[in-house]
Amino acid sequence: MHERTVIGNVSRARVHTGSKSEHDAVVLITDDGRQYVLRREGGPAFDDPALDQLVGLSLVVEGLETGNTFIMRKWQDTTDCGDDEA
Amino acid sequence: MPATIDKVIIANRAALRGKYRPAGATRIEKALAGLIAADAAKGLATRIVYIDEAAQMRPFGVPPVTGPADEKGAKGAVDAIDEKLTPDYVVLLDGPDVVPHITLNAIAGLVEDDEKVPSDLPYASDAPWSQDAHDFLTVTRVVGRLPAAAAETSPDTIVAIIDRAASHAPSPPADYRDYFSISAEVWQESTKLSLKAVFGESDALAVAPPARHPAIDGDLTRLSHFINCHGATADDRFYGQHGQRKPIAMKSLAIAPNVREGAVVAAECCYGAQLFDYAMAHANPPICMSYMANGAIGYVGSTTIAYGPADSNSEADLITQYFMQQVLKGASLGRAFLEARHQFIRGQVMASPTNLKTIAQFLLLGDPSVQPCIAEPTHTTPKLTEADAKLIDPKGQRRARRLALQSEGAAVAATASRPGKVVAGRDQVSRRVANLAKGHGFEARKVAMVEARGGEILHAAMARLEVDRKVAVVMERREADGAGQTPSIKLLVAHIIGKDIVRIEKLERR
Repeated sequence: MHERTVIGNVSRARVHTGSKSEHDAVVLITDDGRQYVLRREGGPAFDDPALDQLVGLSLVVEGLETGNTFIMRKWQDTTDCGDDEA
Repeated sequence: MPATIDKVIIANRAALRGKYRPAGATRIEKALAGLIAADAAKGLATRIVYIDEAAQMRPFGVPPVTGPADEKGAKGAVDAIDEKLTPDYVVLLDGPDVVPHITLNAIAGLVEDDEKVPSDLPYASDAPWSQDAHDFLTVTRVVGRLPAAAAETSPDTIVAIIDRAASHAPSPPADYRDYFSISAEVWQESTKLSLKAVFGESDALAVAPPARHPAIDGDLTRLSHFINCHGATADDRFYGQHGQRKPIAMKSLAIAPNVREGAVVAAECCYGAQLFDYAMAHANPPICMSYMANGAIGYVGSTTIAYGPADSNSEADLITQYFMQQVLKGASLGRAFLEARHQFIRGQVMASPTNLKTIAQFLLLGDPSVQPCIAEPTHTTPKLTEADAKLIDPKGQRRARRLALQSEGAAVAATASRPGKVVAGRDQVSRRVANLAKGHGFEARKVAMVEARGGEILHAAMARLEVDRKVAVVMERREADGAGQTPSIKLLVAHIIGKDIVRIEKLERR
Protein backbone atom coordinates (compact mmCIF):
# COMPACT_ATOMS: atom_id res chain seq x y z
CA MET A 1 0.00 0.00 0.00
CA HIS A 2 1.34 3.40 -0.94
CA GLU A 3 0.17 6.97 -0.41
CA ARG A 4 0.18 8.77 -3.74
CA THR A 5 -1.57 11.18 -6.08
CA VAL A 6 -2.99 10.06 -9.43
CA ILE A 7 -4.55 11.96 -12.32
CA GLY A 8 -7.04 10.53 -14.81
CA ASN A 9 -10.52 10.17 -16.18
CA VAL A 10 -13.35 8.42 -14.35
CA SER A 11 -15.51 5.81 -16.05
CA ARG A 12 -17.34 2.59 -15.28
CA ALA A 13 -15.95 -0.90 -15.93
CA ARG A 14 -16.48 -4.51 -14.98
CA VAL A 15 -13.60 -5.66 -12.77
CA HIS A 16 -12.33 -8.86 -11.13
CA THR A 17 -14.09 -10.79 -13.86
CA GLY A 18 -15.16 -14.34 -13.19
CA SER A 19 -14.14 -14.07 -9.54
CA LYS A 20 -16.09 -13.92 -6.32
CA SER A 21 -15.69 -10.15 -6.30
CA GLU A 22 -16.62 -9.45 -9.91
CA HIS A 23 -18.61 -6.26 -10.13
CA ASP A 24 -19.26 -3.07 -12.02
CA ALA A 25 -16.93 -0.48 -10.60
CA VAL A 26 -16.18 3.17 -10.97
CA VAL A 27 -12.59 3.32 -12.22
CA LEU A 28 -9.98 5.94 -12.87
CA ILE A 29 -7.89 5.54 -16.00
CA THR A 30 -4.62 7.42 -15.86
CA ASP A 31 -2.86 9.02 -18.81
CA ASP A 32 -0.46 6.10 -19.01
CA GLY A 33 -3.40 3.68 -19.28
CA ARG A 34 -3.40 2.27 -15.74
CA GLN A 35 -6.88 1.47 -14.38
CA TYR A 36 -7.70 1.84 -10.68
CA VAL A 37 -10.90 0.76 -8.98
CA LEU A 38 -11.97 3.79 -6.95
CA ARG A 39 -13.24 3.67 -3.39
CA ARG A 40 -13.90 6.57 -1.06
CA GLU A 41 -12.13 6.31 2.29
CA GLY A 42 -14.73 4.80 4.60
CA GLY A 43 -17.09 4.24 1.69
CA PRO A 44 -18.34 0.80 0.62
CA ALA A 45 -16.33 -1.23 -1.89
CA PHE A 46 -19.47 -1.79 -3.96
CA ASP A 47 -22.44 0.35 -4.99
CA ASP A 48 -21.31 3.72 -3.71
CA PRO A 49 -23.69 6.30 -5.22
CA ALA A 50 -21.25 9.10 -4.39
CA LEU A 51 -18.76 7.57 -6.82
CA ASP A 52 -21.37 7.35 -9.57
CA GLN A 53 -21.46 11.15 -9.53
CA LEU A 54 -17.80 11.22 -10.57
CA VAL A 55 -18.23 9.20 -13.78
CA GLY A 56 -17.20 11.28 -16.79
CA LEU A 57 -15.00 13.66 -14.79
CA SER A 58 -11.27 14.24 -14.91
CA LEU A 59 -9.81 14.12 -11.40
CA VAL A 60 -6.67 14.65 -9.38
CA VAL A 61 -6.94 12.17 -6.53
CA GLU A 62 -4.88 11.82 -3.36
CA GLY A 63 -5.08 8.61 -1.41
CA LEU A 64 -3.88 5.07 -0.92
CA GLU A 65 -2.92 2.74 -3.75
CA THR A 66 -3.45 -0.91 -2.85
CA GLY A 67 -2.93 -3.10 -5.90
CA ASN A 68 -5.36 -1.91 -8.53
CA THR A 69 -7.64 -0.25 -5.99
CA PHE A 70 -7.28 3.42 -5.09
CA ILE A 71 -8.75 4.57 -1.77
CA MET A 72 -9.56 8.24 -2.24
CA ARG A 73 -8.85 10.66 0.57
CA LYS A 74 -9.16 13.93 -1.40
CA TRP A 75 -9.95 14.71 -4.98
CA GLN A 76 -10.32 17.68 -7.27
CA ASP A 77 -12.40 17.93 -10.43
CA THR A 78 -10.25 19.24 -13.30
CA THR A 79 -12.73 18.47 -16.10
CA ASP A 80 -13.14 22.06 -17.24
CA CYS A 81 -9.46 22.92 -16.91
CA GLY A 82 -7.21 22.98 -19.95
CA ASP A 83 -4.37 20.50 -20.20
CA ASP A 84 -1.89 23.07 -18.94
CA GLU A 85 -3.98 23.83 -15.89
CA ALA A 86 -4.73 20.16 -15.10
CA MET B 1 17.08 -28.81 23.82
CA PRO B 2 14.73 -31.85 23.94
CA ALA B 3 15.65 -34.79 21.75
CA THR B 4 12.70 -34.17 19.49
CA ILE B 5 10.82 -30.99 18.67
CA ASP B 6 7.13 -31.35 17.85
CA LYS B 7 6.31 -27.73 17.10
CA VAL B 8 8.48 -24.87 15.86
CA ILE B 9 7.47 -21.23 16.12
CA ILE B 10 9.12 -19.16 13.38
CA ALA B 11 9.69 -15.59 14.57
CA ASN B 12 11.74 -12.49 13.86
CA ARG B 13 12.80 -10.77 17.09
CA ALA B 14 14.04 -7.55 15.53
CA ALA B 15 10.82 -7.18 13.54
CA LEU B 16 8.73 -7.79 16.67
CA ARG B 17 10.74 -5.16 18.57
CA GLY B 18 10.36 -2.74 15.69
CA LYS B 19 6.64 -3.33 15.47
CA TYR B 20 5.73 -3.43 19.18
CA ARG B 21 8.78 -1.76 20.78
CA PRO B 22 11.01 -3.81 23.10
CA ALA B 23 8.47 -3.83 25.94
CA GLY B 24 5.76 -5.16 23.62
CA ALA B 25 8.10 -7.80 22.23
CA THR B 26 8.91 -8.88 25.79
CA ARG B 27 5.19 -9.34 26.49
CA ILE B 28 4.92 -11.51 23.38
CA GLU B 29 7.91 -13.60 24.51
CA LYS B 30 6.22 -14.14 27.88
CA ALA B 31 3.03 -15.22 26.15
CA LEU B 32 5.06 -17.62 24.00
CA ALA B 33 6.65 -19.04 27.15
CA GLY B 34 3.11 -19.72 28.39
CA LEU B 35 2.26 -21.44 25.12
CA ILE B 36 5.39 -23.60 25.34
CA ALA B 37 4.48 -24.61 28.90
CA ALA B 38 0.89 -25.39 27.91
CA ASP B 39 2.13 -27.44 24.96
CA ALA B 40 4.49 -29.35 27.25
CA ALA B 41 1.55 -30.24 29.46
CA LYS B 42 -0.16 -31.66 26.34
CA GLY B 43 2.96 -33.66 25.43
CA LEU B 44 4.20 -31.27 22.75
CA ALA B 45 7.81 -30.08 22.75
CA THR B 46 7.74 -26.56 21.30
CA ARG B 47 10.65 -24.33 20.38
CA ILE B 48 10.92 -20.76 19.06
CA VAL B 49 13.48 -20.03 16.34
CA TYR B 50 14.28 -16.39 15.66
CA ILE B 51 15.20 -16.46 12.01
CA ASP B 52 16.81 -13.02 12.12
CA GLU B 53 19.53 -14.07 14.59
CA ALA B 54 22.78 -15.51 13.27
CA ALA B 55 23.46 -17.55 16.41
CA GLN B 56 20.04 -19.19 16.20
CA MET B 57 20.35 -19.97 12.49
CA ARG B 58 23.95 -21.25 12.59
CA PRO B 59 23.00 -24.83 13.61
CA PHE B 60 20.61 -24.95 10.67
CA GLY B 61 23.35 -24.04 8.19
CA VAL B 62 21.60 -21.05 6.64
CA PRO B 63 22.09 -17.31 7.14
CA PRO B 64 19.60 -15.22 9.11
CA VAL B 65 17.02 -13.26 7.15
CA THR B 66 18.19 -9.81 6.13
CA GLY B 67 14.92 -8.27 7.32
CA PRO B 68 11.22 -8.96 7.67
CA ALA B 69 10.71 -8.55 3.91
CA ASP B 70 13.35 -11.17 3.04
CA GLU B 71 11.01 -13.77 1.57
CA LYS B 72 13.70 -15.96 0.08
CA GLY B 73 15.60 -15.95 3.38
CA ALA B 74 12.45 -16.81 5.35
CA LYS B 75 11.57 -19.69 3.04
CA GLY B 76 15.17 -20.97 3.24
CA ALA B 77 15.11 -20.67 7.02
CA VAL B 78 11.86 -22.64 7.37
CA ASP B 79 13.16 -25.32 4.98
CA ALA B 80 16.40 -25.70 6.94
CA ILE B 81 14.62 -25.77 10.31
CA ASP B 82 12.12 -28.35 9.05
CA GLU B 83 14.92 -30.47 7.61
CA LYS B 84 16.84 -30.50 10.89
CA LEU B 85 14.04 -30.68 13.48
CA THR B 86 11.28 -32.44 11.45
CA PRO B 87 8.55 -30.86 13.57
CA ASP B 88 4.94 -31.97 13.33
CA TYR B 89 3.76 -28.34 13.34
CA VAL B 90 5.22 -25.11 11.94
CA VAL B 91 3.84 -21.82 13.33
CA LEU B 92 4.53 -18.52 11.58
CA LEU B 93 4.42 -15.81 14.23
CA ASP B 94 2.61 -12.54 13.52
CA GLY B 95 1.74 -10.84 10.25
CA PRO B 96 3.56 -10.64 6.92
CA ASP B 97 5.47 -7.61 8.22
CA VAL B 98 7.25 -9.95 10.66
CA VAL B 99 7.36 -13.30 8.83
CA PRO B 100 6.55 -12.51 5.21
CA HIS B 101 4.08 -14.18 2.91
CA ILE B 102 5.87 -15.49 -0.18
CA THR B 103 4.84 -13.28 -3.08
CA LEU B 104 3.89 -15.66 -5.89
CA ASN B 105 3.65 -14.54 -9.49
CA ALA B 106 0.30 -13.90 -11.13
CA ILE B 107 -1.25 -17.15 -12.32
CA ALA B 108 -0.65 -17.67 -16.05
CA GLY B 109 -3.80 -17.86 -18.13
CA LEU B 110 -5.83 -15.76 -15.73
CA VAL B 111 -6.63 -12.21 -16.76
CA GLU B 112 -7.38 -10.39 -13.51
CA ASP B 113 -6.34 -7.55 -11.28
CA ASP B 114 -4.14 -9.45 -8.83
CA GLU B 115 -0.61 -8.81 -10.00
CA LYS B 116 0.83 -11.07 -7.29
CA VAL B 117 -0.48 -13.69 -4.85
CA PRO B 118 0.82 -13.35 -1.26
CA SER B 119 0.96 -16.93 0.00
CA ASP B 120 1.95 -19.18 2.91
CA LEU B 121 1.78 -22.27 0.68
CA PRO B 122 5.56 -22.36 0.00
CA TYR B 123 6.23 -22.77 3.73
CA ALA B 124 4.14 -25.95 3.66
CA SER B 125 6.25 -27.52 0.92
CA ASP B 126 9.85 -28.71 0.88
CA ALA B 127 10.20 -27.56 -2.73
CA PRO B 128 13.04 -25.03 -3.07
CA TRP B 129 12.61 -21.27 -3.49
CA SER B 130 10.42 -20.20 -6.36
CA GLN B 131 7.70 -17.66 -6.99
CA ASP B 132 5.58 -19.93 -9.16
CA ALA B 133 2.63 -21.52 -7.38
CA HIS B 134 2.84 -24.71 -9.42
CA ASP B 135 6.23 -25.47 -7.89
CA PHE B 136 4.56 -25.99 -4.49
CA LEU B 137 2.01 -28.71 -5.18
CA THR B 138 3.94 -31.16 -3.02
CA VAL B 139 2.43 -29.99 0.25
CA THR B 140 3.67 -31.98 3.23
CA ARG B 141 3.98 -29.66 6.23
CA VAL B 142 1.37 -28.70 8.82
CA VAL B 143 1.60 -24.90 8.83
CA GLY B 144 -0.45 -22.08 10.35
CA ARG B 145 0.07 -18.43 11.20
CA LEU B 146 -0.63 -16.78 14.56
CA PRO B 147 -1.60 -13.49 12.96
CA ALA B 148 -1.56 -9.78 13.52
CA ALA B 149 -2.39 -7.18 10.94
CA ALA B 150 0.45 -5.30 9.30
CA ALA B 151 1.62 -2.28 11.28
CA GLU B 152 -0.34 -3.18 14.45
CA THR B 153 1.40 -1.32 17.28
CA SER B 154 -0.14 -2.84 20.40
CA PRO B 155 0.91 -6.40 21.34
CA ASP B 156 -2.51 -6.99 22.96
CA THR B 157 -3.97 -8.76 19.93
CA ILE B 158 -1.15 -11.19 19.23
CA VAL B 159 -0.77 -11.89 22.96
CA ALA B 160 -4.50 -12.69 23.22
CA ILE B 161 -4.23 -15.02 20.21
CA ILE B 162 -1.21 -16.81 21.69
CA ASP B 163 -2.92 -17.13 25.09
CA ARG B 164 -6.05 -18.57 23.46
CA ALA B 165 -4.00 -21.15 21.56
CA ALA B 166 -2.39 -22.13 24.86
CA SER B 167 -5.62 -22.49 26.79
CA HIS B 168 -7.94 -24.10 24.24
CA ALA B 169 -9.28 -27.53 25.18
CA PRO B 170 -11.10 -29.60 22.54
CA SER B 171 -14.90 -29.62 22.73
CA PRO B 172 -17.33 -32.39 21.81
CA PRO B 173 -17.96 -32.41 18.02
CA ALA B 174 -21.63 -31.58 18.63
CA ASP B 175 -20.56 -28.09 19.76
CA TYR B 176 -19.17 -27.44 16.27
CA ARG B 177 -22.11 -28.88 14.35
CA ASP B 178 -24.20 -25.87 15.33
CA TYR B 179 -23.03 -23.42 12.66
CA PHE B 180 -23.38 -19.85 11.46
CA SER B 181 -23.40 -19.40 7.71
CA ILE B 182 -24.03 -16.39 5.53
CA SER B 183 -24.07 -16.25 1.73
CA ALA B 184 -24.58 -13.64 -0.93
CA GLU B 185 -28.07 -14.35 -2.21
CA VAL B 186 -26.80 -15.02 -5.74
CA TRP B 187 -24.52 -17.80 -4.45
CA GLN B 188 -26.96 -19.44 -2.05
CA GLU B 189 -27.30 -22.64 -4.10
CA SER B 190 -23.54 -23.12 -4.04
CA THR B 191 -23.40 -22.37 -0.31
CA LYS B 192 -26.22 -24.82 0.43
CA LEU B 193 -24.23 -27.56 -1.30
CA SER B 194 -21.18 -26.69 0.80
CA LEU B 195 -23.18 -26.74 4.04
CA LYS B 196 -24.77 -30.08 3.18
CA ALA B 197 -21.31 -31.49 2.48
CA VAL B 198 -19.99 -30.26 5.83
CA PHE B 199 -22.95 -30.30 8.23
CA GLY B 200 -25.44 -32.55 6.42
CA GLU B 201 -28.04 -29.77 6.04
CA SER B 202 -28.27 -26.09 5.18
CA ASP B 203 -31.24 -24.99 7.29
CA ALA B 204 -29.33 -22.31 9.20
CA LEU B 205 -28.07 -20.48 6.11
CA ALA B 206 -28.57 -16.71 6.27
CA VAL B 207 -28.91 -15.05 2.88
CA ALA B 208 -27.60 -11.52 2.28
CA PRO B 209 -29.52 -9.45 1.58
CA PRO B 210 -31.48 -9.24 3.79
CA ALA B 211 -29.13 -10.81 6.36
CA ARG B 212 -26.76 -8.34 8.08
CA HIS B 213 -25.97 -6.88 11.47
CA PRO B 214 -27.60 -6.72 13.97
CA ALA B 215 -30.01 -9.48 12.88
CA ILE B 216 -27.16 -12.00 12.49
CA ASP B 217 -25.36 -11.07 15.71
CA GLY B 218 -27.00 -13.72 17.89
CA ASP B 219 -25.90 -16.45 15.48
CA LEU B 220 -22.28 -15.27 15.53
CA THR B 221 -21.93 -16.95 18.92
CA ARG B 222 -21.93 -20.37 17.22
CA LEU B 223 -18.59 -22.15 16.96
CA SER B 224 -18.46 -23.03 13.25
CA HIS B 225 -18.71 -20.20 10.71
CA PHE B 226 -18.98 -20.66 6.93
CA ILE B 227 -19.03 -17.41 4.93
CA ASN B 228 -19.58 -17.00 1.19
CA CYS B 229 -19.83 -13.26 0.60
CA HIS B 230 -18.04 -10.62 -1.43
CA GLY B 231 -14.88 -9.07 -0.06
CA ALA B 232 -12.56 -6.33 -1.25
CA THR B 233 -8.93 -5.36 -0.75
CA ALA B 234 -8.08 -3.32 2.36
CA ASP B 235 -11.73 -3.48 3.44
CA ASP B 236 -13.17 -4.36 6.86
CA ARG B 237 -16.56 -5.49 5.52
CA PHE B 238 -18.11 -8.41 3.63
CA TYR B 239 -21.00 -7.89 1.21
CA GLY B 240 -24.09 -9.76 0.04
CA GLN B 241 -25.59 -9.54 -3.45
CA HIS B 242 -29.09 -9.37 -4.87
CA GLY B 243 -29.18 -8.63 -8.59
CA GLN B 244 -26.59 -5.94 -9.13
CA ARG B 245 -26.89 -4.59 -5.58
CA LYS B 246 -24.16 -5.51 -3.08
CA PRO B 247 -25.15 -4.30 0.38
CA ILE B 248 -22.87 -4.63 3.41
CA ALA B 249 -23.55 -7.88 5.30
CA MET B 250 -20.76 -8.11 7.89
CA LYS B 251 -18.55 -5.52 9.57
CA SER B 252 -15.39 -6.02 11.54
CA LEU B 253 -16.50 -3.95 14.54
CA ALA B 254 -19.93 -5.61 14.71
CA ILE B 255 -18.39 -9.10 14.65
CA ALA B 256 -15.97 -8.42 17.52
CA PRO B 257 -18.34 -8.51 20.51
CA ASN B 258 -20.18 -11.61 19.31
CA VAL B 259 -17.40 -14.09 18.56
CA ARG B 260 -17.31 -17.04 20.94
CA GLU B 261 -14.11 -18.50 22.38
CA GLY B 262 -13.06 -21.41 20.19
CA ALA B 263 -14.81 -20.38 16.97
CA VAL B 264 -13.50 -21.78 13.68
CA VAL B 265 -14.14 -19.83 10.48
CA ALA B 266 -13.99 -20.72 6.79
CA ALA B 267 -14.42 -17.65 4.57
CA GLU B 268 -14.57 -17.94 0.79
CA CYS B 269 -14.58 -14.17 0.31
CA CYS B 270 -12.07 -12.33 -1.86
CA TYR B 271 -9.35 -10.91 0.40
CA GLY B 272 -11.00 -12.65 3.39
CA ALA B 273 -7.62 -13.34 5.04
CA GLN B 274 -5.74 -10.26 3.86
CA LEU B 275 -3.77 -8.92 6.85
CA PHE B 276 -3.75 -5.36 5.55
CA ASP B 277 -2.42 -2.28 7.30
CA TYR B 278 -5.74 -1.00 8.57
CA ALA B 279 -4.22 2.07 10.20
CA MET B 280 -2.80 3.21 6.88
CA ALA B 281 -6.14 2.49 5.20
CA HIS B 282 -7.93 4.51 7.94
CA ALA B 283 -10.16 1.46 8.45
CA ASN B 284 -11.01 -0.99 11.22
CA PRO B 285 -9.10 -4.27 11.61
CA PRO B 286 -9.67 -6.82 8.85
CA ILE B 287 -12.58 -9.18 9.54
CA CYS B 288 -10.18 -12.11 9.88
CA MET B 289 -8.40 -10.24 12.68
CA SER B 290 -11.68 -9.25 14.30
CA TYR B 291 -12.44 -12.96 14.56
CA MET B 292 -8.97 -14.00 15.73
CA ALA B 293 -8.61 -11.18 18.24
CA ASN B 294 -11.97 -11.82 19.85
CA GLY B 295 -12.21 -15.56 20.31
CA ALA B 296 -11.66 -17.55 17.12
CA ILE B 297 -8.93 -20.20 17.22
CA GLY B 298 -8.81 -20.83 13.48
CA TYR B 299 -9.65 -19.02 10.26
CA VAL B 300 -9.15 -20.17 6.68
CA GLY B 301 -9.41 -17.49 4.02
CA SER B 302 -7.88 -15.97 0.93
CA THR B 303 -5.26 -13.24 0.54
CA THR B 304 -6.54 -12.18 -2.88
CA ILE B 305 -9.42 -12.49 -5.38
CA ALA B 306 -11.09 -15.90 -5.04
CA TYR B 307 -13.16 -17.97 -7.45
CA GLY B 308 -16.24 -20.17 -7.37
CA PRO B 309 -19.45 -20.85 -9.26
CA ALA B 310 -22.94 -19.65 -8.34
CA ASP B 311 -24.86 -22.92 -8.20
CA SER B 312 -22.32 -25.72 -7.90
CA ASN B 313 -19.10 -26.27 -5.96
CA SER B 314 -15.51 -25.75 -7.04
CA GLU B 315 -12.42 -23.70 -6.14
CA ALA B 316 -13.02 -21.66 -2.94
CA ASP B 317 -16.11 -23.72 -2.06
CA LEU B 318 -14.08 -26.91 -1.95
CA ILE B 319 -10.95 -25.83 -0.07
CA THR B 320 -13.09 -24.29 2.68
CA GLN B 321 -15.55 -27.16 2.99
CA TYR B 322 -12.76 -29.78 3.00
CA PHE B 323 -11.14 -27.88 5.88
CA MET B 324 -14.33 -27.73 7.93
CA GLN B 325 -15.04 -31.43 7.29
CA GLN B 326 -11.66 -32.37 8.77
CA VAL B 327 -12.14 -30.05 11.76
CA LEU B 328 -15.43 -31.79 12.56
CA LYS B 329 -13.68 -35.16 12.33
CA GLY B 330 -11.37 -34.08 15.16
CA ALA B 331 -8.25 -33.06 13.25
CA SER B 332 -5.98 -30.31 14.50
CA LEU B 333 -6.40 -27.06 12.58
CA GLY B 334 -3.14 -27.59 10.73
CA ARG B 335 -3.85 -31.20 9.82
CA ALA B 336 -7.35 -30.22 8.71
CA PHE B 337 -5.92 -27.62 6.36
CA LEU B 338 -3.15 -29.90 5.06
CA GLU B 339 -5.70 -32.64 4.35
CA ALA B 340 -7.94 -30.06 2.66
CA ARG B 341 -5.05 -29.06 0.43
CA HIS B 342 -4.36 -32.72 -0.42
CA GLN B 343 -8.01 -33.40 -1.18
CA PHE B 344 -8.17 -30.31 -3.39
CA ILE B 345 -4.99 -31.13 -5.34
CA ARG B 346 -6.05 -34.77 -5.70
CA GLY B 347 -9.53 -33.99 -6.94
CA GLN B 348 -9.08 -30.85 -9.04
CA VAL B 349 -7.21 -30.21 -12.28
CA MET B 350 -4.32 -28.09 -11.11
CA ALA B 351 -3.45 -27.02 -14.64
CA SER B 352 -6.61 -24.92 -14.41
CA PRO B 353 -5.53 -21.37 -13.50
CA THR B 354 -8.40 -20.82 -11.03
CA ASN B 355 -7.62 -24.06 -9.18
CA LEU B 356 -3.93 -23.22 -8.97
CA LYS B 357 -4.75 -19.79 -7.63
CA THR B 358 -7.08 -21.28 -5.02
CA ILE B 359 -4.40 -23.57 -3.60
CA ALA B 360 -1.93 -20.66 -3.53
CA GLN B 361 -4.11 -18.00 -1.97
CA PHE B 362 -5.92 -19.76 0.89
CA LEU B 363 -4.09 -19.94 4.19
CA LEU B 364 -4.65 -20.93 7.81
CA LEU B 365 -4.67 -18.37 10.59
CA GLY B 366 -4.29 -20.04 13.97
CA ASP B 367 -2.02 -22.40 15.85
CA PRO B 368 -1.93 -25.52 13.66
CA SER B 369 -1.58 -27.83 16.67
CA VAL B 370 -4.86 -26.70 18.21
CA GLN B 371 -7.57 -29.33 18.01
CA PRO B 372 -10.99 -27.64 18.00
CA CYS B 373 -13.03 -30.73 18.77
CA ILE B 374 -12.53 -34.28 19.93
CA ALA B 375 -12.49 -37.02 17.31
CA GLU B 376 -15.56 -39.20 17.49
CA PRO B 377 -14.92 -42.94 17.32
CA THR B 378 -15.81 -44.42 13.94
CA HIS B 379 -16.64 -47.98 12.93
CA THR B 380 -12.95 -48.49 12.14
CA THR B 381 -11.78 -47.36 15.59
CA PRO B 382 -10.59 -50.48 17.43
CA LYS B 383 -12.22 -51.10 20.81
CA LEU B 384 -9.47 -51.26 23.41
CA THR B 385 -9.39 -52.20 27.05
CA GLU B 386 -8.29 -49.47 29.44
CA ALA B 387 -4.96 -51.24 29.87
CA ASP B 388 -4.40 -51.45 26.11
CA ALA B 389 -5.39 -47.81 25.65
CA LYS B 390 -2.68 -46.78 28.11
CA LEU B 391 -0.10 -48.39 25.85
CA ILE B 392 -1.00 -46.11 22.94
CA ASP B 393 1.47 -43.23 22.68
CA PRO B 394 -0.20 -40.02 21.41
CA LYS B 395 3.12 -38.71 20.12
CA GLY B 396 3.63 -41.90 18.15
CA GLN B 397 0.08 -41.67 16.82
CA ARG B 398 0.75 -38.12 15.61
CA ARG B 399 4.00 -39.22 14.02
CA ALA B 400 2.16 -42.00 12.21
CA ARG B 401 -0.35 -39.46 10.87
CA ARG B 402 2.49 -37.20 9.70
CA LEU B 403 4.14 -40.13 7.94
CA ALA B 404 0.90 -40.81 6.10
CA LEU B 405 0.44 -37.12 5.25
CA GLN B 406 4.02 -36.77 3.98
CA SER B 407 3.45 -39.73 1.69
CA GLU B 408 0.03 -38.46 0.67
CA GLY B 409 1.44 -35.01 -0.15
CA ALA B 410 4.09 -36.51 -2.42
CA ALA B 411 1.58 -38.90 -4.01
CA VAL B 412 -1.06 -36.28 -4.85
CA ALA B 413 1.60 -34.01 -6.33
CA ALA B 414 2.92 -36.86 -8.47
CA THR B 415 -0.54 -37.51 -9.87
CA ALA B 416 -1.58 -33.85 -10.20
CA SER B 417 -1.37 -31.75 -13.32
CA ARG B 418 0.18 -28.30 -13.39
CA PRO B 419 0.13 -25.52 -15.96
CA GLY B 420 2.70 -25.40 -18.70
CA LYS B 421 2.93 -22.91 -21.55
CA VAL B 422 0.00 -20.59 -22.21
CA VAL B 423 -0.67 -20.07 -25.89
CA ALA B 424 -3.39 -18.44 -27.96
CA GLY B 425 -5.60 -21.30 -29.13
CA ARG B 426 -5.86 -21.44 -32.91
CA ASP B 427 -6.33 -25.15 -33.62
CA GLN B 428 -9.50 -27.13 -34.28
CA VAL B 429 -10.25 -27.84 -30.62
CA SER B 430 -9.82 -24.14 -29.82
CA ARG B 431 -12.43 -23.37 -32.47
CA ARG B 432 -14.75 -25.90 -30.82
CA VAL B 433 -14.20 -24.23 -27.45
CA ALA B 434 -14.91 -20.85 -29.04
CA ASN B 435 -18.12 -22.29 -30.50
CA LEU B 436 -18.99 -23.77 -27.12
CA ALA B 437 -18.52 -20.34 -25.55
CA LYS B 438 -20.74 -18.89 -28.26
CA GLY B 439 -23.41 -21.45 -27.32
CA HIS B 440 -23.19 -20.20 -23.74
CA GLY B 441 -23.79 -16.65 -24.90
CA PHE B 442 -20.18 -15.50 -25.09
CA GLU B 443 -19.23 -12.91 -27.66
CA ALA B 444 -15.53 -13.33 -26.89
CA ARG B 445 -13.74 -15.69 -29.26
CA LYS B 446 -10.22 -15.51 -27.82
CA VAL B 447 -9.20 -18.83 -26.29
CA ALA B 448 -6.18 -19.06 -23.98
CA MET B 449 -4.86 -22.63 -24.10
CA VAL B 450 -2.91 -23.78 -21.04
CA GLU B 451 -0.79 -26.87 -21.67
CA ALA B 452 -1.01 -29.31 -18.74
CA ARG B 453 2.19 -30.86 -17.53
CA GLY B 454 2.07 -33.75 -15.15
CA GLY B 455 3.60 -34.67 -11.87
CA GLU B 456 5.84 -37.72 -12.19
CA ILE B 457 3.07 -40.35 -12.19
CA LEU B 458 0.62 -38.34 -14.30
CA HIS B 459 3.39 -37.56 -16.79
CA ALA B 460 4.19 -41.27 -17.13
CA ALA B 461 0.49 -42.11 -17.54
CA MET B 462 0.05 -39.41 -20.18
CA ALA B 463 3.07 -40.75 -22.07
CA ARG B 464 1.86 -44.36 -21.81
CA LEU B 465 -1.63 -43.49 -23.04
CA GLU B 466 -0.21 -41.07 -25.61
CA VAL B 467 -2.57 -38.30 -24.59
CA ASP B 468 -1.94 -34.72 -23.82
CA ARG B 469 -4.05 -32.56 -21.60
CA LYS B 470 -4.93 -28.88 -21.98
CA VAL B 471 -7.15 -26.37 -20.26
CA ALA B 472 -8.86 -23.77 -22.43
CA VAL B 473 -9.99 -20.51 -20.87
CA VAL B 474 -12.37 -17.96 -22.40
CA MET B 475 -12.84 -14.74 -20.45
CA GLU B 476 -15.27 -12.13 -21.63
CA ARG B 477 -14.96 -8.60 -20.37
CA ARG B 478 -17.58 -6.35 -21.89
CA GLU B 479 -17.73 -2.79 -20.65
CA ALA B 480 -20.98 -0.99 -19.96
CA ASP B 481 -22.53 0.72 -22.95
CA GLY B 482 -23.64 3.68 -20.94
CA ALA B 483 -25.01 4.90 -17.65
CA GLY B 484 -27.29 2.40 -15.99
CA GLN B 485 -26.22 -0.44 -18.31
CA THR B 486 -24.82 -3.62 -16.86
CA PRO B 487 -21.83 -5.13 -18.69
CA SER B 488 -21.91 -8.88 -19.22
CA ILE B 489 -18.87 -10.91 -18.21
CA LYS B 490 -18.32 -14.64 -18.19
CA LEU B 491 -15.51 -17.12 -17.74
CA LEU B 492 -15.58 -20.56 -19.33
CA VAL B 493 -13.01 -23.28 -18.62
CA ALA B 494 -12.88 -26.36 -20.86
CA HIS B 495 -10.75 -29.39 -20.01
CA ILE B 496 -9.30 -31.17 -23.03
CA ILE B 497 -7.78 -34.62 -23.42
CA GLY B 498 -6.16 -35.06 -26.82
CA LYS B 499 -8.66 -33.36 -29.06
CA ASP B 500 -11.72 -34.08 -26.92
CA ILE B 501 -13.44 -31.69 -24.54
CA VAL B 502 -14.02 -33.75 -21.39
CA ARG B 503 -15.31 -31.21 -18.88
CA ILE B 504 -16.76 -27.72 -18.94
CA GLU B 505 -16.85 -25.26 -16.04
CA LYS B 506 -18.66 -21.97 -16.22
CA LEU B 507 -17.72 -19.51 -13.51
CA GLU B 508 -20.77 -17.39 -13.08
CA ARG B 509 -20.60 -13.67 -12.68
CA ARG B 510 -20.18 -12.75 -9.02
